[in-house]
Amino acid sequence: MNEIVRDQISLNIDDNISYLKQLLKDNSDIVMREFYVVNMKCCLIYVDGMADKNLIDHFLLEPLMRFEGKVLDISIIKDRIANVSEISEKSKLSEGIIGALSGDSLLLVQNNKSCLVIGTRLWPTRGVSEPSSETVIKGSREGFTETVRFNTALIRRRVRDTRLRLEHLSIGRRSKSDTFIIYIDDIVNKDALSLIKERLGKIDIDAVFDSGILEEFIEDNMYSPFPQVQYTERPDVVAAALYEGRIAVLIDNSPSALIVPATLPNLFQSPDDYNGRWINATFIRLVRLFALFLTLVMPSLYISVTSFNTYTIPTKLAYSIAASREGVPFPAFVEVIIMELFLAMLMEAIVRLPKPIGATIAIVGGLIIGQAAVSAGIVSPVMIIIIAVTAITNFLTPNYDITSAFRFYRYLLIIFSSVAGLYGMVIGLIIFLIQLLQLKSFGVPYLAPAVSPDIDDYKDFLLRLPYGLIRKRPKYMNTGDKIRQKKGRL
Amino acid sequence: MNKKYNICNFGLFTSIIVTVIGIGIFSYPRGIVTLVENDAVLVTIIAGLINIALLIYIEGAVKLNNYQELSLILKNNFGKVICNIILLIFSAYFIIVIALGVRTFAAVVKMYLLIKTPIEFIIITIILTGSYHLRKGIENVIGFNEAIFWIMFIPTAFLLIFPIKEAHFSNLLPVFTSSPLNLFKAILTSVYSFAGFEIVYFLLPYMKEKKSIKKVSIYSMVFITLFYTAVLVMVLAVFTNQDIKILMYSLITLSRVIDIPGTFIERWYGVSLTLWVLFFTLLLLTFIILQQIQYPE
Repeated sequence: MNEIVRDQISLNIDDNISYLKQLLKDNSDIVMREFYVVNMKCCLIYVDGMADKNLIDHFLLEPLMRFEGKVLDISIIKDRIANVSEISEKSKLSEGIIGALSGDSLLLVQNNKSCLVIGTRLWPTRGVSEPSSETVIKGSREGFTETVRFNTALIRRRVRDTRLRLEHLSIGRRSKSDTFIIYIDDIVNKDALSLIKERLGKIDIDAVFDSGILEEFIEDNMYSPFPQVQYTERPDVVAAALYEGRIAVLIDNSPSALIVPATLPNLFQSPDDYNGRWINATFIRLVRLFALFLTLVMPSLYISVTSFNTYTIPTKLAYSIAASREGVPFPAFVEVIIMELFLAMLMEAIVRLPKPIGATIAIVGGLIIGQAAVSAGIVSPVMIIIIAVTAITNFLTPNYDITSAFRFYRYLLIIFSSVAGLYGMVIGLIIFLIQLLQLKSFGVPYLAPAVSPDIDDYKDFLLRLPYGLIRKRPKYMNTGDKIRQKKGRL
Repeated sequence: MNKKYNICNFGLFTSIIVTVIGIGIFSYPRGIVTLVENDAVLVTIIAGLINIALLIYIEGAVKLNNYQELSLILKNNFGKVICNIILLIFSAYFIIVIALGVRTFAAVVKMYLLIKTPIEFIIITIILTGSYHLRKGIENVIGFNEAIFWIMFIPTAFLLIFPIKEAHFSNLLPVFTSSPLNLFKAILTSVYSFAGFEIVYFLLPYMKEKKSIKKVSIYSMVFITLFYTAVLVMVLAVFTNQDIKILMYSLITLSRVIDIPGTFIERWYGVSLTLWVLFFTLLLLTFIILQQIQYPE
């Protein structure tokens, strides 16, 4: 599993070169350029396509090969000859090789016990573009890219604080992905910080490509359907989280950052809540909460009132539902399950398929099957409305993982209510609530600030009061520095 | 038990309220009104005051013993044998209270929500859900109480406001018609209906701020007294005392009276009952207390 790479650098450069050629054999993209500076043999190793050839040619090779001095020591190259800004001396060969494989250039010089790693990383990248999964009406259009260095720069632009910390880790035995733990030193929740460092340090896997894999290693409860880590592709969301004492984790090759600790209310907030008028933001938050409730209970409520507790709804409505269900051969439970599964399949098909075909599927699924199912008498028209409402309310939340978690509990409630009507539904809701209460994200209760309330935390929970009134950082985050603004606007 | 856990003030407040009301509420009006008719409101207030005094006494007793756990307090003060006997009585008491509570609750659910379902099914589901709830200990139960406090009492407030249309407050008169003996009996019954606040014995050792315990527990008892009084006043005003003697669960019948024209839900008692299912969880706190009773070695 673990490859043992030689640490020692031999004084005889040919020995080193032959070792490297053996180690990296059959690789057409690795360039080993051997040359002489005065009389000393040197060798430059880099990966074609990941290193900046312009920089290597003009600012490294040119001054080196034109050098006419006498003594050639590695420190002289570093201090006087190479016209590059990022250069470091390494005493271990293995470190140099990892550098070369990451896009830097490795320079070996005869009669030297150390090597030089020159920062020459440059590869084709996607530009900074608007994240498609988190669109906003007002606010920044910048999104993270796959290159972690650009992402850290996007964050640094928003936090010009000497106390911002970007700790580097390398995760994955083979992939050696660059990972950054980002926090503001005097605000951060120290318990969560030590927890995340411990959990990231424990990861022993061959490769990590994306933050999703990382998420499963660091979350508290891996059996819960709820996401306990917040995903975002927006640097402004990360920066705002840092100021609340939370910690961001960025990994190379992934355009999304992980933010911990994450609470359920955090996952329901959108940057638009903060950029818009506070009254509107409050209204939207309440609407989201209501939608959340609807998406959870709509189908099970339908089953309860049609199959068990028919007396709770007005008689006229009960009659019209009964009339529309006339001719439907299935009980309400089967009807709901058919339509729920169909909706889930349809959504999955639209996400996965190429866009032109996706539109076709949407038309086929939405129009033809919905209409046809009703006229064929398989489901009732009321059922179509219920499913439509469920689907719409489901996507009102800004977070996709939450949507899936709620879908899971919706199915649970459907089963419970088909056994015992309204009573079963409430039992299901109680279990749902218990599950939420038992969850913790890095020591912070998942439902905070709804449990153990502090009046200050309520200012930015269901309500979003004006900034002038929010004077403190969230108390449940156990931040170091607690005050955002001393006076506020009063 | 997890000794580190710190209960905050709101946790204590909601836990006392939720436990007391969960145990007594269903049959409270009938029991009192049968004995003293219109003096029930007065009796409730007196019982509330007595309970506040008891609560202050409990707080004092625990404070005197340095906020130790009950088993330790008993052991240090009475010795091992008497301590074990008292704890045994406590356990038996809690088991009986929970059993009665669950039985009442299941009967209510069966009567109004699941007419054809056998009562055993309801009881088993309650016990299963309760046991699931208790797996992670006292912290979750307190958190649950905090979370559902608003969910429970906001709709209940509406439940008490809507029937005002039907209420005739002259039904509350005449007062002082019952005999002193009956008054005394009714006060005793009423004090029992406040049962459940004994849990403070078990909660106080885990409180975060010991200073504010007294204040918070008095507030919670005042809340309970006001709530019971409000329920009694509404029930008496809507039904008169003669009807209440016949009505098994008058609070639920009260929600049947509600008729708001033009609303989506026609018969509110289905909704209110559904919410009241939550009330059974109130009993859960006593479950966990049972779990917590440990005999000192």
